[in-house]
Amino acid sequence: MLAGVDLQPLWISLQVAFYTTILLIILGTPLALWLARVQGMKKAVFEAMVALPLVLPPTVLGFYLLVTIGPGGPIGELWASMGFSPLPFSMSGLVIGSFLYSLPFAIQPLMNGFEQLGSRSSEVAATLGAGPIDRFFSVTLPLTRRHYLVAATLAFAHTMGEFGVILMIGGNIPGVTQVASIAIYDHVDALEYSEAHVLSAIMLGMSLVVLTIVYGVNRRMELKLR
Amino acid sequence: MTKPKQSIKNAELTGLLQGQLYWQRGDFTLDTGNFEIPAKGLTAIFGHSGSGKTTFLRCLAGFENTAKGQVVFSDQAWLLNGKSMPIYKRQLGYVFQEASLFSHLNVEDNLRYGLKRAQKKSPGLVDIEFEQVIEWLGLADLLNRNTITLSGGERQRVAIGRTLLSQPKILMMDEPMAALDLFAKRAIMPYLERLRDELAIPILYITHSPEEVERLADTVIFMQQGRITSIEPIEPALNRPNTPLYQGAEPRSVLSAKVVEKFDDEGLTRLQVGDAELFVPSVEDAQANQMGGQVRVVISAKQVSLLSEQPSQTSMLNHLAVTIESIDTHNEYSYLLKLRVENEPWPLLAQVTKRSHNKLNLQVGQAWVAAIKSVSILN
Repeated sequence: MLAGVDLQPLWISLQVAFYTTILLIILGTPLALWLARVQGMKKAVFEAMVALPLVLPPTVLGFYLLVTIGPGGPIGELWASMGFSPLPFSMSGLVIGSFLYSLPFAIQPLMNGFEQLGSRSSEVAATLGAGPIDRFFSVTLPLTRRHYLVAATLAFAHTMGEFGVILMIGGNIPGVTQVASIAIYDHVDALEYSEAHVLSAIMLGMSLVVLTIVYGVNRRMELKLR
Repeated sequence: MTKPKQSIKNAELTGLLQGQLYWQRGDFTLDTGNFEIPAKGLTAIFGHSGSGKTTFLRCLAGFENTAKGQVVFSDQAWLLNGKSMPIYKRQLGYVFQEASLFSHLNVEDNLRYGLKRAQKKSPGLVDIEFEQVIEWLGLADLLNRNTITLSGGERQRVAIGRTLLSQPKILMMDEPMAALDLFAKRAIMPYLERLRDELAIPILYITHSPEEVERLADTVIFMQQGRITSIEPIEPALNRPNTPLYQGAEPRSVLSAKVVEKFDDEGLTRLQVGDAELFVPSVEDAQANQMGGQVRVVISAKQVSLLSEQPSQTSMLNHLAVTIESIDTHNEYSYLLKLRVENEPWPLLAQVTKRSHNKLNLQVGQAWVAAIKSVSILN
């Protein structure tokens, strides 16, 4: 049944989700740390900005992105002046779009984790002679690892299922920017139901396996912390 | 800036941690005025809840980055001209009310957390050894345990050990026993006494318990409404009239004594107090069980009466030759006398009625015998 079905879109989806997740965890950490610490109006404004992709239609987000990072857009210009090839319709463009689209799914679990942890453990580590980066890796990260697991899973899964934003900034170039969700849509559009079935079934199976692994690991961490 | 009312004259109390601090949040203002905290022994920070003890210590340690003023410790400027040295460079140890152990590490890894970093910073400069701390705090059996399985007292002992092993030059403790039940408190007190006596570093210790001050402190910082009202050596702090330690309570005196002899079949211990001796009920305590051990005893001023001469026959065990040093009005009907035992630096307080005072014609400088109905070792 697999024979003859192009699995390239699945591979592209996985790559986009992988890079996006890595980027979200690395860049999301300082942002979430900061958001967990600030208070008042500042916090409300920035929390709202991070949560925006939850309520915005993906096409709106995609449209603004296209305007900003496309040739002629402020970031697009800067990007081009540094000698890089244009962002839209490229893997880098997809990752940037996915990053913004999945931002709340990574930030919110991390922020909750840092808020629950509070400042005490870091204060203790400081009095024991640990500098800020040492404190993060030796205390904060291990104590919030479950939140990291949730953040990474949600970010990855959400990016895998992305459709609208990618369509707006990535187009639908087979082998380059055609991701699985869009390929399925195309197959159905062309009444190629068997191809759509194969891709959909793989997506379904993969999601189930990933979530099962995550819940299993989460449970073991929980037991260990008890 | 206000100056502390009591200037420090005692030669031993050379200021080591000094400065002044100002901090404000909401309705609360911390405004310490100039302070000088001695380099030796245990300094208790005493005040009621809301007096700013914890805020003061947190500002001193550097946790509150909105604190203004200056703090100089030894030759290190901790806070000067608006520049604050990061906490991890300050070489201070801080023990919180709750043990705050790292739950992802076992007991041994908790203990070694600060030690590892201290060794990395200055190899070969470890004064407080791992084995020594294990022995001091009785931690040998706990090393492989998960921190979650420890009792409250055990957790706090691990936290204290972890702090000591980070090789601090000063130890700060914020009511380390407040979260413990009475039983755990009694169990941990001897460990604290041992630290005070064997560590060469100064200890700052927040408490609202007069009993802990009596038993542990060498110096007392009194705080009230965000201000330091005075910094005094322990003896006047305990024994002066109107000391904040016993507000509203009956006046009592605390004397330092040396264990001389034990009478196990009578359940008594003989103590040396200056040139006099006291018999007290024996107690189970490391210091009190050891000949020559230093203990503190407490005597309620109401339990002290005056006799004109040494009685030849009496059931009372304790009668000491004293000199009246001062006579202060205590309340409408009674006086508080400060009595001096020869060669004992700490005075004995006695409460006498105005009637007795007039009948006996008590005057400063007279020699009397103080009969004491009950006296007990602090533990």
